[in-house]
Amino acid sequence: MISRNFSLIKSLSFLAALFLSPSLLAQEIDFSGDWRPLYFEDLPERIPGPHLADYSGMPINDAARLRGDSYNPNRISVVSEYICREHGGDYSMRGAADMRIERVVDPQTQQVIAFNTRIGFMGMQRTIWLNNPERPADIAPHTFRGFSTGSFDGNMLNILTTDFKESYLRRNGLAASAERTTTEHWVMHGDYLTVVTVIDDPVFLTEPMVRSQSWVRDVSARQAPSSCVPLQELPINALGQIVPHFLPGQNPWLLEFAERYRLPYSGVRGGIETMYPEYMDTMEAPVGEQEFCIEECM
Amino acid sequence: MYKHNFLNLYFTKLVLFCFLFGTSVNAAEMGLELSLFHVKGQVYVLTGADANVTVQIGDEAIVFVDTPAPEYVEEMMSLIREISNAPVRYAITTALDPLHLAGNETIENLGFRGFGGRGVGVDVAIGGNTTGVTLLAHENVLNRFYLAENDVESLTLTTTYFTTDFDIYLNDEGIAIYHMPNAHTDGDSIVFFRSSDVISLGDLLVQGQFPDIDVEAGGSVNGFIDALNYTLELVIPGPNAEGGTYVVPGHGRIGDEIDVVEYRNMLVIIRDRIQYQIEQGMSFDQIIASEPALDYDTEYGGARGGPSTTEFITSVFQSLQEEVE
Repeated sequence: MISRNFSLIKSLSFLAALFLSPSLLAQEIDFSGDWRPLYFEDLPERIPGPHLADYSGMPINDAARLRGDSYNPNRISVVSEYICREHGGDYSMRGAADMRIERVVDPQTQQVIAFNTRIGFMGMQRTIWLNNPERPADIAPHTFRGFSTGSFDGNMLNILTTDFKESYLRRNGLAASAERTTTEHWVMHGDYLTVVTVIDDPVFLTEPMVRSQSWVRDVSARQAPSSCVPLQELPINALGQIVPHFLPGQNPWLLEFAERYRLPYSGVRGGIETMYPEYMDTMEAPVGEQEFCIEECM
Repeated sequence: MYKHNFLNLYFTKLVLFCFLFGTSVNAAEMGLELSLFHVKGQVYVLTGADANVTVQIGDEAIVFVDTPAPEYVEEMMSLIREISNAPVRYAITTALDPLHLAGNETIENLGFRGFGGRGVGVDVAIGGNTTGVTLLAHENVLNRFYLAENDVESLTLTTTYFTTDFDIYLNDEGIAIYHMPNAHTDGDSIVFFRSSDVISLGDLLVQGQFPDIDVEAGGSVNGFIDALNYTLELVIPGPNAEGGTYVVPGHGRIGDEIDVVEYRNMLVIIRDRIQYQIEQGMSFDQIIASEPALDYDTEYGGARGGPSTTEFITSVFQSLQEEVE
């Protein structure tokens, strides 16, 4: 009798382990396939690209703001080393290109041990490890894509990424440091994938920055091969700047975004003091002469 | 006179450093953990010491770029001996900097000295030292050392000097040593392991710290930028600007092309700002008050070690002023 009960307990334990094991649950959530980004969210920033000096909604510090104010967009065409640079692993999920996701299965255990992603822009590839590998040593080189590990919480894949190279938070000169870490949350609803990214950057942010992107599965999507030749695209300017930049106080474009959209200047300068409802109590009048922009505003 | 005082201070730091670390306490007893990190090809980096030590490990020889403090040497060698039993042949010093050459004297006794030029064999014939390694540096390392008017002549710094560039071929690999005049000091060298595709930069790249431009020792901001630009000519990145040629900084993590680019860009932008301010007639105090490195302070500022933001701005200002004069 005792042995029969024991066998029953063993069987139940095995079944419980079978159905509750995180690694097996991970196999049930299969993100693999081809995904096309949906741009209804933050379209002006993601497709034509952000305005210069638009830092609205960004919890940046003074260092990040001056970095952005000094940014001359010619820099990425003059500094040839930037020509073939891929996006940072966090920024790539803003999705200016299709994404392919593939499962990596351990041939012995048949467990999913990783997801590989490939983003069309520059053919950037990234691995999200699910088998708890050791993180790289402190001395190890960083990469634009960073080092990602993931674990499932129910149907949600949580991804921690570290070991980034310096990159950008926004393509208008707002820098993202090599010390940042990101936490992503991937959730699939039918053929839709939502990715929420939380960025912690002790160098440039005063509090975590959260943004989200959505993707739709597209069985017709295909990736193109990537080839890039790092050649200087623009000549060095009359000032002889090998790294184009504006001297403090000399950027002629700082007001453009606020004037075009008739916004309070302090609001587009970013920082947590402009991100919460209390800001409306101190918000100054909009700048510029233009009426509120309701169409063709980009 | 100021220069001599400065160099005496510099040398005092070196002697103090060697004294502090030259005791019988080894690294393990101090709770420090050394390890060898494989960079690429035959090149490794010793981590856990006070500065990065680049090591080429092959069947023919062991070659160091910079050396750790003496008490690290025994443990370092045991790590190396797990990979190769080849003799130690060279220790190349990247600059006259206590953190980068403190172990030279200890390491000198580990290996075999190569004889050079027409004097080949003379050391043996006259019963000289045949057991040491060649401690190689640019001539200005020696010049700066003796300018310090020190009275500790027995301290071994370096033994062999070059005046422009220098080549060695060891472990089936060309090792090219380039003098970078007037950068961190006027005796800086970078070392390019050509087959392994790794460049050891010494303190011409320090991750997360402002550059230490030692104007009194011949360093300059423009020379520093030139050195980084020269490095960028040597570096070939991998696809998407990832990997390819790796660079080993004096301190901090290994980098690649883009790490050198970001460091160079920071220096260029801050140099341009201070240059403009000088041309506008601003005083040194006004320049300091204007915070010309504000946007780089949280990434490189002195709280992370290395020069403080004020010290860095001062060195850029002094360097630009010297060029005007």
